[in-house]
Amino acid sequence: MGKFILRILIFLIPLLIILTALEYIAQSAPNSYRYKNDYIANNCDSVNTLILGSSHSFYGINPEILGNNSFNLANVSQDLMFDLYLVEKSIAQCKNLKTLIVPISYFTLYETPLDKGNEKFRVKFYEHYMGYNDSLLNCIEKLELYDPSILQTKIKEYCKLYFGGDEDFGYNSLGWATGYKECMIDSNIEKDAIKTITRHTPSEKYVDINIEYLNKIATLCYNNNIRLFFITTPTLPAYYNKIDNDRWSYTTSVVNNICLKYEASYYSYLNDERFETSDFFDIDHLCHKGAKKFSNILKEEIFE
Amino acid sequence: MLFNSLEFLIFLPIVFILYWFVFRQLKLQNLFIVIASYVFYGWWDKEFLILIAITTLLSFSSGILIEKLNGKRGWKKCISGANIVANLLILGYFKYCNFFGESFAQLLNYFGFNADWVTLEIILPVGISFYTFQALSYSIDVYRGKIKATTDIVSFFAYISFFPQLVAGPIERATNLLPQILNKRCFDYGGAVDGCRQMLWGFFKKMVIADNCAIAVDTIWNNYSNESGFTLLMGGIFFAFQIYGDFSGYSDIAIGTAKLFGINLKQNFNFPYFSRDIAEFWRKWHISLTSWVKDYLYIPLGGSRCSTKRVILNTIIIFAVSGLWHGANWTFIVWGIYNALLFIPLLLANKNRKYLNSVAENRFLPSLKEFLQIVTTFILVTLGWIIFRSESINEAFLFIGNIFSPTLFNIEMQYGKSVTIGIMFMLIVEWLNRNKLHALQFNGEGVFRYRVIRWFVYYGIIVATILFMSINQTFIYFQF
Repeated sequence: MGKFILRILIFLIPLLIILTALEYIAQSAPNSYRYKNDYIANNCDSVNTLILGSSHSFYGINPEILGNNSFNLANVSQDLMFDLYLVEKSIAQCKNLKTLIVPISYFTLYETPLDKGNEKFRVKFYEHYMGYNDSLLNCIEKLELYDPSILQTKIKEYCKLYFGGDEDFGYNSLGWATGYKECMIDSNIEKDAIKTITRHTPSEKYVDINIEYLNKIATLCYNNNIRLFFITTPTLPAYYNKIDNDRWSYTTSVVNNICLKYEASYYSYLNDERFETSDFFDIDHLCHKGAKKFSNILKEEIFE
Repeated sequence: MLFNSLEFLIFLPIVFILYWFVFRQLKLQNLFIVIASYVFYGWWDKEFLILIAITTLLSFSSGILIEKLNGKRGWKKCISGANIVANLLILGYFKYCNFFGESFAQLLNYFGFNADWVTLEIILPVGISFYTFQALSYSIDVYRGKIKATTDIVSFFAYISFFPQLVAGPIERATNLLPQILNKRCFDYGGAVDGCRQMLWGFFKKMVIADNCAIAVDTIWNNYSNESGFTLLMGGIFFAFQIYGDFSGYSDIAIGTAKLFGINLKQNFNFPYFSRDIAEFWRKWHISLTSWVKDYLYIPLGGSRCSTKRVILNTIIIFAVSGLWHGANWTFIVWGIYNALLFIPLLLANKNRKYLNSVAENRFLPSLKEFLQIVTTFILVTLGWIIFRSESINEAFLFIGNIFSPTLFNIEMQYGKSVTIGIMFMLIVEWLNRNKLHALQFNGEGVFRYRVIRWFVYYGIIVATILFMSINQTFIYFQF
């Protein structure tokens, strides 16, 4: 028995070294969270406009087209709690911040906080790379190795960075996600829509807390003379025809009330007819062509 | 608790240490097995622990009663029958009520009656088919006089609930497992090391092969009406490897874990995809269920020692029951009958036991004939898996129909390119060790007599598993 345990322990030593090396590689790999954090730190004086939110704005708003020294600070599945964290941090850093764009999606008020939902693993990115230190994870969950499904990508990105090759890490220099190049919609659109709508319609458990976050963001902007724009990104009819109209009306009324209270503006492009199927990557995300069109529209209607 | 979870990674060493160092007496060890097993199962759902306890108590008390009624054959039969009925009622209620209710409602609706009230929503307890069959085999064996009834209730609870095989088998027989639980166990270094190797291979098959195949399979099945025949064929092949990696992976982890506790479970898979005909496949696939059905159903029905018509009927019955055991859906029953139809010609031609030896025995590669036999058997099995995986018979026929279309020759791999490399690796390793109990059984021959080589292999497999594992998916066989 003693021999067995001793052998197991000896066996584990190189294994721990290998795992540590993998963890180091995964943490050293380039990623949008670290890039965005560093960008804000290094360009704090020049940034005038920040775009927050989840994948809808991460893929949908290209700051290069928007101009006005914009930067896209959105991330996939970023919830209002982390939006608020980034607003607080950016206001402290960026002295010339004048405009903030916060997307309002169908799920915004109803979404489960990141640390309580299926995408809890993303919390570690804010802790590792964006300086968030309100620890929501245990020491095991904080490891990149804990989520091996993205480990391969991380190692590939690391190899790209240090051993040459393609330098597209999935985001451009102004933080816009470059992954959704073209339309990928197929005949399963209705099936996908049902799945997406189901995923986007969780319980009403977190409505109050999400409204509170929105109010806090609006208060911060109001107190710091930052123009706040709430926007809803375009979606396809397969999506917007299936949403729960009561929930959506409630969301828009909450946002409109906040706008009245804090002198903010709200623009909804949810069912904007200027967008056609080829503008979308899937039913609720814009592809490159759609992002270009949408960014131009925002530029005209918000900045000009 | 899933084997491929962080909880199990913590649970196993704790149980191992307590088992060998703290609870060293046999009675304490058995009690500890029961507690650990109930914690293991209760991690998923505490409420259904009572069901395992009821099943255990039913079989335990029927065993004692049968033994006490020695000489009174009628009464013994009665008790044994009552125990079988009670266990099957529990299984039937939880597993088949929804199915029969819905089928009945559909039938009534067909005749114009509104029967929506018939449909029920009963949650299926994990592993119920496995532990029910294990409990049944005990009381039947006591009735048949193959084993003496035990009066040690703790040991009997340990026999039914032994955590490595509780939720997805192998379905153990009392003749094999109970004596090991009733007698003092000693730590076997060789067995424990071999158990760790078997677990390692099981994790690889589950986390790399099955979970990655699952992604390709789900994508293809979700869009089967628009995919080419070739892609659909690949979908079927990927599912064949998904279910093999998932289920044989679980069995390997279960058998390996049991070895750490000084217990040897039965082999459940014997490299079935290297079979030369369907009969050989069924001797090598889910061996514990196949042998259970043979011993407790096929032979009592008369087996093959009766008229040809009866033999055919018996074969169809056992395959249909095996199918129904997997789940409450017509697809499983049709899958069972499909396999029976492949098996019956071999049985009637008396060729069902033609291939009892290992394929390519004493040779490195199979002959062309053997290779073609393996490929043909695999394709036939894969067509069966398509029926098994589909949600309805209609879907299965449409899927198979779409395979055999002109687009079958549009050879373009759209999904699962990387997992194909993993499958090739798995097949090579398993082919090289096809005469052994599992793919990583090293008997100190060749280069594997050097520890450094063996450890290099282990580290390689661990790193490959970490790097290429997919999104954590539950084991398919949990639903059975």
